[in-house]
Amino acid sequence: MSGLRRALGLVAVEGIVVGLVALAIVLSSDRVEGKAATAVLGLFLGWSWIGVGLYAWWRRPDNRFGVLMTAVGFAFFLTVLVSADAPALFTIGVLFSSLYLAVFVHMLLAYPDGRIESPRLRRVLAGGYALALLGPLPTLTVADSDVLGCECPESFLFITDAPTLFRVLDVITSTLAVVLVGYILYVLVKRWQVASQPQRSTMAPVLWSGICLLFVLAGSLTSMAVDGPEAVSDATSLLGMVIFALTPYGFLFGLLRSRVLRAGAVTELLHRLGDAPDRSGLREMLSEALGDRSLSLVYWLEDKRRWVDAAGRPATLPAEDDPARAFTRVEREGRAVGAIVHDRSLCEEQELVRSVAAAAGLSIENERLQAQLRARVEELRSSRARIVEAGTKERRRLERNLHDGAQQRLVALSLTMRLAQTRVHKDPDAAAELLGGAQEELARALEELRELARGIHPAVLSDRGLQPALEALAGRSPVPVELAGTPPQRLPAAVEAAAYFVVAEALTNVAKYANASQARICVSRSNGHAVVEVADDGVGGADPGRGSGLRGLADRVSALDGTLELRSPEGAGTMLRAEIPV
Amino acid sequence: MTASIRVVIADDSVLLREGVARLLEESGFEVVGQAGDAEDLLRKVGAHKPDVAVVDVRMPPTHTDEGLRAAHQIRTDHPGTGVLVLSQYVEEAYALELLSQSTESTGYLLKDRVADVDSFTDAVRRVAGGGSALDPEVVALLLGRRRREDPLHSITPREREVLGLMAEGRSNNAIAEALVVTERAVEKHVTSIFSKLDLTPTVEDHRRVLAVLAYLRAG
Repeated sequence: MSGLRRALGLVAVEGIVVGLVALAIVLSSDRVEGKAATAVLGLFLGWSWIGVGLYAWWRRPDNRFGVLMTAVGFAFFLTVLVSADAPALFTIGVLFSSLYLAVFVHMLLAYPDGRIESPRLRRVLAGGYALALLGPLPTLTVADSDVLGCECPESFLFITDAPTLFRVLDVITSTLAVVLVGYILYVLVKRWQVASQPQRSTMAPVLWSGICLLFVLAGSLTSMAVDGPEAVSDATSLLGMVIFALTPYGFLFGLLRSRVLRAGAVTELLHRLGDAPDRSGLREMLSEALGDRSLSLVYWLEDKRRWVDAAGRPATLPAEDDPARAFTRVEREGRAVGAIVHDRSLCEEQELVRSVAAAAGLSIENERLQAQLRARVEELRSSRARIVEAGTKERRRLERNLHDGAQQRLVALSLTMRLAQTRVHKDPDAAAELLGGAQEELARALEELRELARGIHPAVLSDRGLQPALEALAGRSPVPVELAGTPPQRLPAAVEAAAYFVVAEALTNVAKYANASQARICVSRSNGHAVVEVADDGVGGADPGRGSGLRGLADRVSALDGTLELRSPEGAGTMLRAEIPV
Repeated sequence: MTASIRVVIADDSVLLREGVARLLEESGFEVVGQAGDAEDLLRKVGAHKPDVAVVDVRMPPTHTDEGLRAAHQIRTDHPGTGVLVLSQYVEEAYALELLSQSTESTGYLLKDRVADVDSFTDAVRRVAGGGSALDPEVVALLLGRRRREDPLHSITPREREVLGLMAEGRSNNAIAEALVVTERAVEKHVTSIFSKLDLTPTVEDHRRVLAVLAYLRAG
């Protein structure tokens, strides 16, 4: 920092010296009318630009805008050489008399960060510089002092006296300049139109003074090109000078105003945060403090590794290269707690946004905890609803199975028995046959009831644990299944049941869709989790949204705070993996 | 001979217990005791020293596997008493657990089988006489298990039937009767199966069952 200060100090000293030299040149000139006024005005202009430029440079060293402003000041001092009596100095002065305008345009186009990204604008700017340097050449080479109407020293580059050629070249350069200025005006107005509210409020002083100045310039160039009355030309150039002199102050005013306003805003924010323990208006407070009505807050959920809004709904951050939006991370004790999503123009005021973020850190952390809670509640609400729904569906399924299966068989059985009873004396053989049929029907009813009961909850699972229960599942699978292992100790009943149904569903899917030649089950404990994996060597490409089976499983697993993951690349088998905390 | 077989029945459902008792008595068994839970069962087995106990897997107080644990206890404490376990569900884990140490005087049947009087009384008699009985459905599950390189593919359908009946605990004589072939033919099938499955041949019935079950289980 001190290196920069020293360098800026040197530039400031140079500015003073150059200014004083310019003052001396004007005062010693034989030709200038109203020497004192011209000298003072010039000195004031040059020093204004250099001074404000250095201030901006010092405040925002990364931003080249300050450099450009300083350059405008120095370039302006070059124009003073036009007043010099020595032909050499005079020639240089005329040659560079428009350079400050080119630098000024450069500055306008590079606002606010001092850089020009668009290649087209760069070309336009290069054209501007070329025109500024080549434009005065006709004056220096083919015009004599009669044409110019002044008692100038003879140009170093003077070739011959050709008034017509001079007139033609002068019209051409003036026309080009008008077109160029018109185009730049168009670009600037366009920029204003697309700017967001906060962008406008920072760019207003510079942009509007720039636009005014360019209008004046275009006007004076036009009047010169058409050889208008001298009074108009004089008036416009005077107006131009006044605006040019005021521009850096407009910028300075904007800079200071935003600093003063924003500094006050941070102090006020701290007070308000202290006064309002309910943070209902946190977003509003920050948005006021930063002057960005579009500001929003997002919170970081470490466990889910994602951003959510205040209501706990998933949110996304603007991309790094988003032209309109940007975000500033908020950290507490080195941990990310959230981010302020704001207009990109606020990136210009990193310092301010960071101090606001720091001031609101605790509140944002609290809000984050709330958001985390809401996200969890939201998740629980929806999974609970799904579990209830799944339960209802399951009961309906059971009811239907009982009704269509065992119950129907028993009704039929009851009829058969009644029939047998009526025939037992008259036709014993027929009665025996009926009873035989009844016996078979009964056996089927029993079998159906057994399967149904097993599907609800296998007795062996609670009695003997996962290993025999999974062996039984594997044994009933139409695809060969290897049971690679289960934990040696029993797991909590709910975890065992979830693991069992994960495997059951997975094996059902393997049999139905996978077209696999074998499958492998593995249940293990690692890092305080029960990990259930069922993998097959089938066709893969399973759709996680398929059927309600997987969804129901995911809910069952997440009800235990676990996660369910389906990996099924096309043609490379399917793997269902559940992790449930134990 | 049938008249002398003495039975204790344990089931928490009085209806079923009475039904089984009546059925067995009508078939010439002597039901010397009935129990509603495992504790009662052990007491009655100790008192009556029956030839066989017919035991339900699920009984009070926990309704999980009391019957199974009681069965182990009986086999350890009263070697002279056989145990036939009845289960509501086909749980091969229970069956294999029960029959893994010894198939002597031990059986595991689905409860539904009691309705098939002949095969049920046959099983009770087998277990009472020191043999074994394994429910055909459990055997079917074990035989039906899909294996990656399945040596069972190499055996003929007839051999498969013989293997199943062996696993159920039937003697060559009973197998011959069931398949309506000569005992000599059954012996030939058994030898062929043992060589195809790479098992050591054995003549004793319960050793043979043990070997077959161990083989099927390992697959």
